[in-house]
Amino acid sequence: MSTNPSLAGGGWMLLRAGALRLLLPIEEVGPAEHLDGAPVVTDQPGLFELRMADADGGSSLVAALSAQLQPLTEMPADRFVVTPFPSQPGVFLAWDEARLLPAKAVKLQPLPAVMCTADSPLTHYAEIDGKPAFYCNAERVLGYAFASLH
Amino acid sequence: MLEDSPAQDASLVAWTESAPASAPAQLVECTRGQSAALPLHTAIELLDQLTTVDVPGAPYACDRLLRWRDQWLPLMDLGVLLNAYRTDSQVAPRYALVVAWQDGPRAPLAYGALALSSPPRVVEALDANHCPLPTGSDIWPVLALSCFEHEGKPVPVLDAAALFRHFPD
Repeated sequence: MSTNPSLAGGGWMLLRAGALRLLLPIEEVGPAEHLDGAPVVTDQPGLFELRMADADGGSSLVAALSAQLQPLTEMPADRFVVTPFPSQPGVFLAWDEARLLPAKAVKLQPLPAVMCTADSPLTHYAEIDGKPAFYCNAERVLGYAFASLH
Repeated sequence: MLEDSPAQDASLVAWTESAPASAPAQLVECTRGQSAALPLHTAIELLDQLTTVDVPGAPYACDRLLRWRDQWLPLMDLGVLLNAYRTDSQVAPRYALVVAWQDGPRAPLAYGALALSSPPRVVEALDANHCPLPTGSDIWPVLALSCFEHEGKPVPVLDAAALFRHFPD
């Protein structure tokens, strides 16, 4: 049985994309931003160009995840907030909801052993608002989500 | 081919030595034409209103959590487990049978659930009807404590603990 992950920082970020609800340590997620305008389709299905109003006028890539943690080829209209990830500069994910939770609000439990394999990105869950939200670290979830992209 | 574990061999011996000449069992349909049985005492509750949540990245045969009382249980689809794949046209399960087991002596009860398309029925497993496991899947020797013939077909008796153990990576 795996031990519960410990928090280095002060809390959690609950990120929702349709039926998918993820819990990431707050220090692994950059500040959430409102998505202004529709992201532009790129040559790579599942990745969109995100034009940021930052100082150098550069662009970043954004993806929207399915309930199975896979990049969607169309950006759902209700993904209105994007988050960067310090471990993967230049890549954003789009969400329906991004909510800060204090550390004490989350009681992680290990997923049943039968649901965990060496490749599965999720190991724990916590019940938030009556439903499971799945713990993962940012590096692992991004690696899993983008494994199918070239 | 998956190999039998010593623990499973011991379970099989214990089952066969301690079992009476017949015992009631819950018969569940895994796939069309293939059923399995559970010792009656392991089947806790049949649910027909299912609240489930997908678990991304979990093995196809067990990629949903089922709400039961104040817990979330792994929901195992025996048909997917036996066939080693799931089709997009797979029908959502109508029922779930909650099962319980102990991982060791004096260990607390652990729970899981089986996804079913039809309710289980109670049958008598007779010692006299003992037969070899079906050969249609490599998984039976890992999951089954024993096997008996019912209505002309072999019915493996499932070890609930083995069913909800780690999938081999």
